Amino acid sequence: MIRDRDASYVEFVTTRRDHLRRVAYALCGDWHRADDLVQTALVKLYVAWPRVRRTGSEEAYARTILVRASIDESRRPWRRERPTEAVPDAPAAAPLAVEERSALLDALHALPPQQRVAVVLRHWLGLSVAEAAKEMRISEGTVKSHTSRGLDALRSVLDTAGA
Amino acid sequence: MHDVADRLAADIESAAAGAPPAPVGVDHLLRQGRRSLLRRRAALGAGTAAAALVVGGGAWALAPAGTTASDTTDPAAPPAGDPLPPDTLARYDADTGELTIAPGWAVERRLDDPLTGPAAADFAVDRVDDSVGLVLTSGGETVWLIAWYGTEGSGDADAIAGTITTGPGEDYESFAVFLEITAAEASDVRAGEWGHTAALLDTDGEVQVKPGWTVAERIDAPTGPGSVAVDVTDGKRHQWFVFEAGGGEISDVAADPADPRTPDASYADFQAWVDDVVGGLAANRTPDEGAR
Repeated sequence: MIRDRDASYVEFVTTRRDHLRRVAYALCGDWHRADDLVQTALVKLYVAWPRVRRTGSEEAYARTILVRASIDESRRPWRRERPTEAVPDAPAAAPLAVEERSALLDALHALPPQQRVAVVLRHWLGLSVAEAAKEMRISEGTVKSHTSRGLDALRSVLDTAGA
Repeated sequence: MHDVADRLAADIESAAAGAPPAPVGVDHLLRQGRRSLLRRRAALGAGTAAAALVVGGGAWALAPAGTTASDTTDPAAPPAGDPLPPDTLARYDADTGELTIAPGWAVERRLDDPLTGPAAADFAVDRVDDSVGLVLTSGGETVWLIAWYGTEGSGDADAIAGTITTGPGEDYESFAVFLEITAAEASDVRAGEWGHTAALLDTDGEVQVKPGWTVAERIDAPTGPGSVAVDVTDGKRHQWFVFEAGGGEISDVAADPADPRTPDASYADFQAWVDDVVGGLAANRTPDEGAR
């Protein structure tokens, strides 16, 4: 029934959207793009909801969409932009002042996309190598190499900050 | 490893504390999800009905829209048109526009034209010429569906008919929601889902313009293969665009919907604007992007 579908979906979105936003932000480094990614993932999740819910894989499904979409997006020659009411003749608005930046996050977001995703999945979300490989659609060996290189880069930032 | 993991977790939490609120509510997500589901059903369901439905051969004509259900459910009505395909309870004849319903099924409720008009982007046809939402009953069984037929492109192609339905077991409430979503989808398109924007580049790389608007000028490949600049007009106003398609995705990189320039604007003005946009894009692009 559509009503049942909606109720359980709304419950999931209400409880897990904030976490998914954080995951998306960790993957892309921008809250607005993160919200686009999350919206895309949650709309796709709604379509697949009965099947995904039966298997109890709601969050994994949404996260996989986030991961793949963020990787796909990074491969685009140009980022998507929306039509504006007028051609901007002024610089884009400055980043949100309230947004807290850190050297570690800056370093994370400066990593090549695959390294960044591997680090986020393995060392923030705690996925196994096999799970990360499945979500990223790459081999386990490639996950290990991406993770290793990404971690080296982040550690150097921490070392510098701590020096 | 824990050093990085712990710091990442802490820094992400800290960043989240200063993050802007989520831009859309759950209701919006639900609506988007329902639309996406509808489009999927439309794509999968065109010309088919739920496999669980078993009906006999033969068919009878449904009276024109506006008649009452009781007028239209006479099981003695004469067979008309071609027999329905197996497992199909209702279907338009795409050539005549006549709707037929499987024998033994009665129309409990009907809603005319839930889809009629310009079709949603992912629908099987560009325009739905006629459609009807039906609650059909037979014995103790109730089935709801939307039958439609329509045409692609200019209409020169053969019309296509189809039926959107789900299996038995859904209740009328679900049907009402389904119709509401379907009608809203069609209504959005009819009412101008285009909004202020009068042109876009579709996934085939073709420029599409809002109904009532035409392409007045066009410059191909202003920023490279796959890009196009267009001046579109409804006879009173103009909008200028530079579109780029890359990586299978569309980037409408500049639009000027609110520009005060009127039909007085010349081709030279348009060309100068395109040059400005192209120059700005080149200046803002990183060497890596420019190399692709």
